[in-house]
Amino acid sequence: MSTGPGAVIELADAAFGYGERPVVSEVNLSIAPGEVVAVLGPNGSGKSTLVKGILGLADQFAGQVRLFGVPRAEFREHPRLGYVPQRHTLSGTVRATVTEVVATGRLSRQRWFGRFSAADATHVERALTLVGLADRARVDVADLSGGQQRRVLIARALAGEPEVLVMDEPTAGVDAANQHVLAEVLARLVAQGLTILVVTHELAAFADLVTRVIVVDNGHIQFDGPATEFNDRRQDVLHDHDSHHHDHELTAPARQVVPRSVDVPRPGSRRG
Amino acid sequence: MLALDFMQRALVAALLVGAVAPLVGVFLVQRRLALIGDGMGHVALAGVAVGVLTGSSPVWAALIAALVAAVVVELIRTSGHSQGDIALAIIFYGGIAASVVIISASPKGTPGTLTAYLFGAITTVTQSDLWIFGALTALILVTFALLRWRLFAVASDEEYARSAGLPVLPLNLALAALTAVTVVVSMRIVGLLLISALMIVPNAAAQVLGRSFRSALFWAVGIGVLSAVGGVGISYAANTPSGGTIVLLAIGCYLTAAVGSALVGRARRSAHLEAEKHGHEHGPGCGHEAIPHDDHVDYVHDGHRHAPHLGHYDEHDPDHVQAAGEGDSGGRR
Repeated sequence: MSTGPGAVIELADAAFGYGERPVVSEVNLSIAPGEVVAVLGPNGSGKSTLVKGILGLADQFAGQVRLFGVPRAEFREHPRLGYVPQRHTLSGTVRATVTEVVATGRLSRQRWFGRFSAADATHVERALTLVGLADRARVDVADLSGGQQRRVLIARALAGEPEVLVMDEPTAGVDAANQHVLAEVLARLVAQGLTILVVTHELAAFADLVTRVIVVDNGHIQFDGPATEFNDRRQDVLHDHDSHHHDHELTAPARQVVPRSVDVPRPGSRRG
Repeated sequence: MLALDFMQRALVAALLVGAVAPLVGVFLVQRRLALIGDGMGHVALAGVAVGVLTGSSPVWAALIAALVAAVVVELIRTSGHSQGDIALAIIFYGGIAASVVIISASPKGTPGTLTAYLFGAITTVTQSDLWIFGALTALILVTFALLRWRLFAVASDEEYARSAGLPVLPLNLALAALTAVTVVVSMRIVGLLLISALMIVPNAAAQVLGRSFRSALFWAVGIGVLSAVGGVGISYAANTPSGGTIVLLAIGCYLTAAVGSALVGRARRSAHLEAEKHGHEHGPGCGHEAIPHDDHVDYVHDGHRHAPHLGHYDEHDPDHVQAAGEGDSGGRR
């Protein structure tokens, strides 16, 4: 890994966790602009804690974090870093349309006395178009499917015009059709030159896009290298057999067997 | 009744309360803190008691007590301490217990005084109260106008708000302070035991009627004003405590909305046909012809129109087709 001045995310001997206890430690990492990095590992390995530490959402116990060359404590340009949290559902206690939720992604770019401008509205529309939800802009988010709600979260992050997108498990619990759409969305973002850090169980969905793989296990980085090298050494570095105990999502081969897109009319599916 | 000075003051106070309480309450509903205003009312009552005992303005004393309680309560909640819930209970019940004891000890205190503060009374709004309420209402409206989307963002996804650099704790403290101020504005008309209801119930009804956060807010304010002003009027005519009357009106609105929407929903469902099981997600560029239609987009799929609905697709609603004046080539037959 090259440590250059151009790195968007740089960790040196970093340790993150909650309360008293670090969950991941001795993390050394440098991510360059344009990289598409997948963070893999069994549940409880600390991969989510790692990205939350980068975002300042987990406690930092040791080491240094630099974002766009600036130490984490002095970092103020939050919009440059878009976050897509892991949520299984977005439906809250009150009504909120897709546009209203996505518009909150603009807040970090707005001044306290600023109003929601036409430019803000344009960015919201653009973000919705990118994730393929422009046609659902005025729908209550609670009325969307799980996969669509994930895309609302991605659009919310995109609305802030980030240079780096950090995603936590965007595909967990999403059906095959929607996983396919998610992968397409990601491909569009990669084509736009976004740097992406994605925590995931299902590398298969993004296999063509990922340029680099990081495997976290037991609170440490076990592997960090190009995606091609990971594919060759997959059995050595990712202990699938181990993770069966932790994680049922990895053990769901059925998901890959289901056809991704069913466009053909099926006989007998409708009257007429 | 409008010629009576005290009624004029009561109606103005009701208007202020009815408009402001649901605006603050919506964020409490969103954060699942529907009962927090109740607790702050308890503590404000202790402030009132001190005011009655010392002969100073009960409104100012209540404001100070409620604001202190708001900050302490929010800090306890944020700490996430395992005993936090119990700490809140002690603060709230301590407030109401202290107020009952202090009022009974004060020479001017009567059970009638206590009842008026607990359940609201239309005869108690003084001219100086009205000025204070007006100023506090203006403060709430300005704060709401400035912070509403930030408060919305924090309430809907605190973790995301933090990652976006929003000042989460100050915003939560601001909401707590808004709640405290609302409690005080409402204390004369609605009463400190019932104020929480006027923050929450109009929003409950509005969630049934609204289609977005914004439109639900309009409904909530409308229902809040209707209940508060109407409640004061009925209270005068029927000689009932204003707070109880207002809250019963608001609950009536909620029940009407809930029953009405259930009936409409049932009627719609019987005219609702789900499209065949669908392994494909329609969207821009999916290859199917898209037809923008009112507030949604239909997709022509294998000769019939699919309209998105609750994560699946409906066969096109035939009523829509007629309304649009189109041939029913792909609708339900």
